[in-house]
Amino acid sequence: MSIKGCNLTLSACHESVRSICQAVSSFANEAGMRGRDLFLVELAVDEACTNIVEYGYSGCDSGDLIVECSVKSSGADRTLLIKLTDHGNVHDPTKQNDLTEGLDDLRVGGLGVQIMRKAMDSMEYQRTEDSNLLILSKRFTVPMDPE
Amino acid sequence: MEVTIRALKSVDLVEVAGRVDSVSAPRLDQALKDLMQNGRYKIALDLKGVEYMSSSGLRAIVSCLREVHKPIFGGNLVIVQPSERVRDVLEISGLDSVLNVYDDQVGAIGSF
Repeated sequence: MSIKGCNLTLSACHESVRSICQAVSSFANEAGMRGRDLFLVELAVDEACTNIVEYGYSGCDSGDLIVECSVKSSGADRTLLIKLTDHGNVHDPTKQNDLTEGLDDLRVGGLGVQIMRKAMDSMEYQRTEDSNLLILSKRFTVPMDPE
Repeated sequence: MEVTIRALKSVDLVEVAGRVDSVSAPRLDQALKDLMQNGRYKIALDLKGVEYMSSSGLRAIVSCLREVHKPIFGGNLVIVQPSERVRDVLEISGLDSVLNVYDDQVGAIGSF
Protein backbone atom coordinates (compact mmCIF):
# COMPACT_ATOMS: atom_id res chain seq x y z
CA MET A 1 0.00 0.00 0.00
CA SER A 2 1.47 3.32 -1.02
CA ILE A 3 0.22 6.57 0.43
CA LYS A 4 1.30 9.80 -1.13
CA GLY A 5 2.06 12.74 1.11
CA CYS A 6 -0.33 15.62 1.56
CA ASN A 7 1.02 19.09 0.80
CA LEU A 8 -0.92 22.30 0.64
CA THR A 9 -0.35 26.02 0.99
CA LEU A 10 -3.22 28.25 2.02
CA SER A 11 -3.73 31.81 3.11
CA ALA A 12 -3.52 31.94 6.92
CA CYS A 13 -7.07 32.74 7.99
CA HIS A 14 -9.68 30.98 10.13
CA GLU A 15 -11.61 29.74 7.09
CA SER A 16 -8.46 28.00 5.81
CA VAL A 17 -8.08 26.15 9.10
CA ARG A 18 -11.24 24.17 8.35
CA SER A 19 -9.87 23.16 4.93
CA ILE A 20 -6.55 22.15 6.47
CA CYS A 21 -8.27 20.03 9.14
CA GLN A 22 -10.33 18.31 6.47
CA ALA A 23 -7.29 17.63 4.26
CA VAL A 24 -5.16 16.28 7.12
CA SER A 25 -8.03 14.09 8.39
CA SER A 26 -8.60 12.67 4.93
CA PHE A 27 -4.91 11.91 4.58
CA ALA A 28 -4.70 10.28 8.02
CA ASN A 29 -7.84 8.26 7.33
CA GLU A 30 -6.48 7.08 3.99
CA ALA A 31 -3.27 6.11 5.78
CA GLY A 32 -5.29 3.94 8.19
CA MET A 33 -5.86 6.14 11.21
CA ARG A 34 -9.26 5.61 12.80
CA GLY A 35 -11.70 6.68 15.50
CA ARG A 36 -10.52 8.79 18.41
CA ASP A 37 -6.98 9.11 17.02
CA LEU A 38 -8.37 10.72 13.90
CA PHE A 39 -10.41 13.13 16.01
CA LEU A 40 -7.39 14.04 18.17
CA VAL A 41 -5.27 14.75 15.10
CA GLU A 42 -7.96 17.03 13.67
CA LEU A 43 -8.21 18.83 17.00
CA ALA A 44 -4.45 19.33 17.34
CA VAL A 45 -4.09 20.59 13.77
CA ASP A 46 -7.01 22.97 14.33
CA GLU A 47 -5.37 24.36 17.48
CA ALA A 48 -1.94 24.65 15.89
CA CYS A 49 -3.24 26.42 12.78
CA THR A 50 -5.51 28.71 14.81
CA ASN A 51 -2.44 29.66 16.88
CA ILE A 52 -0.54 30.52 13.70
CA VAL A 53 -3.40 32.69 12.42
CA GLU A 54 -3.91 34.46 15.75
CA TYR A 55 -0.35 34.79 17.07
CA GLY A 56 1.91 34.23 14.07
CA TYR A 57 0.00 36.59 11.84
CA SER A 58 -1.86 38.51 14.59
CA GLY A 59 -5.21 37.52 13.17
CA CYS A 60 -4.56 39.28 9.87
CA ASP A 61 -4.82 37.44 6.59
CA SER A 62 -1.25 38.40 5.74
CA GLY A 63 0.70 35.26 4.98
CA ASP A 64 0.79 31.66 3.98
CA LEU A 65 0.40 28.50 6.00
CA ILE A 66 2.19 25.51 4.54
CA VAL A 67 1.08 22.01 5.53
CA GLU A 68 3.02 18.82 4.81
CA CYS A 69 1.83 15.39 5.99
CA SER A 70 3.60 12.09 5.71
CA VAL A 71 3.75 8.68 7.34
CA LYS A 72 7.03 7.41 8.76
CA SER A 73 7.39 3.64 9.15
CA SER A 74 9.81 1.78 11.36
CA GLY A 75 9.10 -1.94 11.36
CA ALA A 76 5.48 -2.36 12.41
CA ASP A 77 5.36 1.12 13.96
CA ARG A 78 3.85 3.88 11.88
CA THR A 79 3.76 7.54 12.77
CA LEU A 80 1.84 10.40 11.22
CA LEU A 81 4.00 13.53 10.81
CA ILE A 82 2.45 16.93 10.23
CA LYS A 83 4.71 19.88 9.46
CA LEU A 84 3.24 23.38 9.68
CA THR A 85 5.31 26.28 8.37
CA ASP A 86 4.52 29.99 8.49
CA HIS A 87 6.43 33.22 8.01
CA GLY A 88 4.79 35.15 10.81
CA ASN A 89 5.94 36.37 14.21
CA VAL A 90 8.00 34.09 16.40
CA HIS A 91 5.57 31.92 18.36
CA ASP A 92 6.75 28.76 20.05
CA PRO A 93 3.79 26.80 21.46
CA THR A 94 6.09 24.24 23.07
CA LYS A 95 7.32 26.92 25.50
CA GLN A 96 3.93 27.54 27.04
CA ASN A 97 3.44 26.12 30.51
CA ASP A 98 0.67 23.75 31.45
CA LEU A 99 -2.55 25.28 32.64
CA THR A 100 -3.07 25.69 36.33
CA GLU A 101 -6.20 24.30 37.90
CA GLY A 102 -9.14 26.43 38.94
CA LEU A 103 -11.16 29.00 37.08
CA ASP A 104 -9.40 32.04 38.52
CA ASP A 105 -5.95 30.85 37.48
CA LEU A 106 -6.95 29.45 34.13
CA ARG A 107 -5.11 31.06 31.23
CA VAL A 108 -7.70 30.88 28.48
CA GLY A 109 -5.07 31.40 25.79
CA GLY A 110 -3.29 28.25 26.89
CA LEU A 111 -6.19 25.90 26.24
CA GLY A 112 -5.20 25.24 22.64
CA VAL A 113 -1.63 24.35 23.55
CA GLN A 114 -2.81 22.06 26.33
CA ILE A 115 -5.05 20.27 23.83
CA MET A 116 -2.24 19.94 21.27
CA ARG A 117 0.13 18.54 23.87
CA LYS A 118 -2.35 15.92 25.06
CA ALA A 119 -3.73 15.00 21.65
CA MET A 120 -0.38 14.33 19.97
CA ASP A 121 2.58 12.15 20.94
CA SER A 122 5.10 14.89 20.28
CA MET A 123 5.31 18.54 19.34
CA GLU A 124 8.57 20.08 18.11
CA TYR A 125 9.26 23.70 17.20
CA GLN A 126 12.05 25.16 15.09
CA ARG A 127 12.64 28.79 14.18
CA THR A 128 14.64 29.43 11.04
CA GLU A 129 15.69 32.81 9.72
CA ASP A 130 12.22 33.89 8.68
CA SER A 131 9.84 31.06 9.46
CA ASN A 132 8.27 28.99 12.20
CA LEU A 133 8.16 25.23 11.79
CA LEU A 134 5.98 23.10 14.05
CA ILE A 135 6.16 19.32 13.73
CA LEU A 136 3.35 17.28 15.25
CA SER A 137 3.49 13.52 15.40
CA LYS A 138 1.10 10.75 16.35
CA ARG A 139 1.65 7.01 16.29
CA PHE A 140 -0.96 4.80 14.67
CA THR A 141 -2.52 2.68 17.40
CA VAL A 142 -4.47 0.53 14.96
CA PRO A 143 -2.45 -1.67 12.56
CA MET A 144 -2.87 -0.88 8.88
CA ASP A 145 -5.55 -2.92 7.11
CA PRO A 146 -4.02 -5.54 4.81
CA GLU A 147 -4.71 -4.90 1.14
CA MET B 1 -23.33 25.95 14.02
CA GLU B 2 -26.77 26.75 15.38
CA VAL B 3 -27.58 28.40 18.70
CA THR B 4 -31.12 28.23 20.07
CA ILE B 5 -32.08 30.04 23.26
CA ARG B 6 -35.12 29.21 25.37
CA ALA B 7 -35.84 31.59 28.22
CA LEU B 8 -37.30 29.72 31.16
CA LYS B 9 -38.44 31.31 34.40
CA SER B 10 -35.04 32.17 35.80
CA VAL B 11 -32.72 30.07 33.66
CA ASP B 12 -31.83 30.30 29.99
CA LEU B 13 -31.41 27.03 28.12
CA VAL B 14 -28.91 27.51 25.29
CA GLU B 15 -28.85 24.62 22.81
CA VAL B 16 -25.86 24.46 20.48
CA ALA B 17 -25.52 22.19 17.46
CA GLY B 18 -22.91 21.62 14.78
CA ARG B 19 -19.25 22.53 14.59
CA VAL B 20 -17.85 25.03 17.09
CA ASP B 21 -14.44 26.21 15.92
CA SER B 22 -12.61 29.50 15.36
CA VAL B 23 -14.99 30.39 12.52
CA SER B 24 -18.23 29.81 14.41
CA ALA B 25 -17.28 30.31 18.09
CA PRO B 26 -17.57 34.12 17.93
CA ARG B 27 -21.32 33.65 17.35
CA LEU B 28 -21.63 31.49 20.46
CA ASP B 29 -19.57 34.04 22.39
CA GLN B 30 -21.85 36.84 21.24
CA ALA B 31 -25.02 34.90 22.09
CA LEU B 32 -23.78 34.35 25.64
CA LYS B 33 -22.73 37.99 25.97
CA ASP B 34 -26.15 39.11 24.75
CA LEU B 35 -27.80 37.05 27.48
CA MET B 36 -25.61 38.58 30.16
CA GLN B 37 -26.19 42.08 28.83
CA ASN B 38 -29.90 41.40 29.31
CA GLY B 39 -29.29 40.51 32.94
CA ARG B 40 -29.50 36.75 32.47
CA TYR B 41 -26.72 35.04 34.42
CA LYS B 42 -28.12 31.53 34.94
CA ILE B 43 -27.27 29.57 31.84
CA ALA B 44 -27.65 25.88 30.98
CA LEU B 45 -25.58 25.16 27.88
CA ASP B 46 -26.82 22.05 26.08
CA LEU B 47 -24.06 20.60 23.89
CA LYS B 48 -25.80 17.38 22.82
CA GLY B 49 -25.79 18.39 19.17
CA VAL B 50 -22.18 19.59 19.03
CA GLU B 51 -20.18 17.30 16.77
CA TYR B 52 -16.90 19.14 17.21
CA MET B 53 -15.53 21.81 19.55
CA SER B 54 -12.08 23.36 19.58
CA SER B 55 -10.54 25.65 22.19
CA SER B 56 -12.25 28.60 20.47
CA GLY B 57 -15.57 27.26 21.77
CA LEU B 58 -14.07 26.53 25.18
CA ARG B 59 -12.85 30.14 25.39
CA ALA B 60 -16.39 31.40 24.87
CA ILE B 61 -17.63 29.11 27.66
CA VAL B 62 -14.85 30.06 30.11
CA SER B 63 -15.27 33.75 29.38
CA CYS B 64 -19.00 33.50 30.18
CA LEU B 65 -18.37 31.35 33.25
CA ARG B 66 -15.99 33.93 34.70
CA GLU B 67 -18.55 36.68 34.19
CA VAL B 68 -21.58 34.89 35.67
CA HIS B 69 -19.51 33.80 38.69
CA LYS B 70 -18.82 37.39 39.72
CA PRO B 71 -20.43 37.90 43.15
CA ILE B 72 -22.42 40.85 41.87
CA PHE B 73 -24.25 38.58 39.42
CA GLY B 74 -24.45 35.39 41.48
CA GLY B 75 -25.08 33.24 38.46
CA ASN B 76 -23.70 30.05 36.99
CA LEU B 77 -23.19 28.30 33.70
CA VAL B 78 -23.60 24.53 33.56
CA ILE B 79 -23.02 22.08 30.73
CA VAL B 80 -25.83 19.73 29.70
CA GLN B 81 -25.48 16.35 27.98
CA PRO B 82 -22.24 17.02 26.12
CA SER B 83 -21.61 14.77 23.13
CA GLU B 84 -18.82 12.20 23.41
CA ARG B 85 -16.45 14.44 21.45
CA VAL B 86 -17.20 17.44 23.66
CA ARG B 87 -16.65 15.36 26.81
CA ASP B 88 -13.30 14.34 25.36
CA VAL B 89 -12.28 17.95 24.71
CA LEU B 90 -13.41 19.06 28.18
CA GLU B 91 -11.30 16.30 29.72
CA ILE B 92 -8.23 16.92 27.56
CA SER B 93 -8.33 20.65 28.28
CA GLY B 94 -8.86 20.09 32.01
CA LEU B 95 -12.08 22.09 32.00
CA ASP B 96 -14.07 19.14 33.30
CA SER B 97 -12.69 20.05 36.74
CA VAL B 98 -14.13 23.58 36.72
CA LEU B 99 -17.44 22.98 34.94
CA ASN B 100 -20.59 21.35 36.30
CA VAL B 101 -21.79 18.77 33.79
CA TYR B 102 -25.32 17.29 33.83
CA ASP B 103 -26.66 14.33 31.89
CA ASP B 104 -30.09 15.87 31.25
CA GLN B 105 -31.83 19.22 31.02
CA VAL B 106 -34.08 18.62 34.05
CA GLY B 107 -31.12 18.04 36.35
CA ALA B 108 -29.24 21.01 34.95
CA ILE B 109 -32.12 23.44 35.25
CA GLY B 110 -32.97 22.12 38.71
CA SER B 111 -29.42 22.86 39.87
CA PHE B 112 -30.02 26.62 39.86
